Amino acid sequence: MTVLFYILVSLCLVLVKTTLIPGVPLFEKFYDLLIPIIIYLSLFRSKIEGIPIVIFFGLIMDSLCGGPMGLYMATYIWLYIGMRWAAQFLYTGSVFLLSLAVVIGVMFEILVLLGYMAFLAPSASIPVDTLGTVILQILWALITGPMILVIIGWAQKKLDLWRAKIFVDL
Amino acid sequence: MFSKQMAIIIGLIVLITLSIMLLSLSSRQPYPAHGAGRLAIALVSPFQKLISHTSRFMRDIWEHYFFLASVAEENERLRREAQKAFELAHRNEELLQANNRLRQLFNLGQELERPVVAAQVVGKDPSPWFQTILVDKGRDNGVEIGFPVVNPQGVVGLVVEATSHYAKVMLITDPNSSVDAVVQKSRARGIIKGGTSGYCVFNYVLRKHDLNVGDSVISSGMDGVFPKGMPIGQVAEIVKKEAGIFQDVTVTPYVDFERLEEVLVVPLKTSADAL
Repeated sequence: MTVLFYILVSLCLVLVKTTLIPGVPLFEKFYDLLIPIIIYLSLFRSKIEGIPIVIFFGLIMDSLCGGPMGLYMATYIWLYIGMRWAAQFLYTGSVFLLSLAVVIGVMFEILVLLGYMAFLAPSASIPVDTLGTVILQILWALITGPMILVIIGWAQKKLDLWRAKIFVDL
Repeated sequence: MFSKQMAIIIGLIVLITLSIMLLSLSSRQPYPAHGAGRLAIALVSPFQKLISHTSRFMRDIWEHYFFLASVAEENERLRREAQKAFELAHRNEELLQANNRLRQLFNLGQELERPVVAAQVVGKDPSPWFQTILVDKGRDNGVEIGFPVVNPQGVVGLVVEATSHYAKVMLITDPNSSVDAVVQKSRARGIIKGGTSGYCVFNYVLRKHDLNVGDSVISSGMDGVFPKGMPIGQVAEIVKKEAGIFQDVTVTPYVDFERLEEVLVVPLKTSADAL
């Protein structure tokens, strides 16, 4: 049920990102909204739930983006592994650290994508407006990242309660 | 002396006469009554007033309720009609604009002298680092990977992926995109590459060529993909560094990618077509 929930959420987010957000000023350079979900899954959920969702996210993004197949999947998997590893040492209850985690996630994705564009792409080059995009994405991540994590946490809690109630009723 | 019957008759006559006289006198004095008449009026009229006002009030409420109800119904009906008219006007405006765009696409298709596939944009790239769009025509409609995509404003991009019903188009503003191009006036040649933020860079233009801001850049057709002479954009900035054999040229595409709605996919000419 959790997997289905995240699949639906991710599809909704991708639909919003590809149809509505491009027409909204300031939001056109919005960071990848799936990153906070991956961070949440890596910090707070089990591997059995997290890994299939992360792979699904990667497949969706690789299919829709202009990059090569596997670019996003690799990024997401490494981000998931990295965050799970970091969660062993860090206190995950702090809002500040959660903001930092989202910013790190966004920066990691940017680094991977820019690395691909600079060294691996067929006509390799770095986009001319890279700096502006990076700053804007980090700012957006700082402002909205913790909020998105809190919303996901709240929705997950509701889902867990609902699921528990259904099982009790059964 | 008088019988009882006679007394009753006389009494009746007197009463009738008195009545006539009183009526006759009162009809000659049209003033309000005095004394007991006034008292009666003073006593009764407040209640009359109260009752009549109340009944009028109730009647007004009743009548107004029905009136308001009918007005409300009429208002609702008019609102619905206005909404329908607004929707119709909006739809007409959309159809008019779509008609103009499609007419331009149709004219372009005829100019290209090739069978073309008209497609609608259904989505954009979820990542700001790549510039692609999804269109609603795929392999079933004759769209294949590598086909150029244009619109009446100019070159849009290249099909990089095609499913049965949809295709992914890499825009010329994508960093991975390259289009062989020439400046229309000076015929200076170079490669148009994407710069992501709605503009392109014109690489490998030799320093010796004189370019001006506003010069039109068109596809050269040398890449074997884009039809020759298709408008790409206009020169927005020229930087000639002290060293180096090339100049840095920035080009603003003619196509407004933010408002892109319909495009034409142009099948490549095959060797069989050439024969």
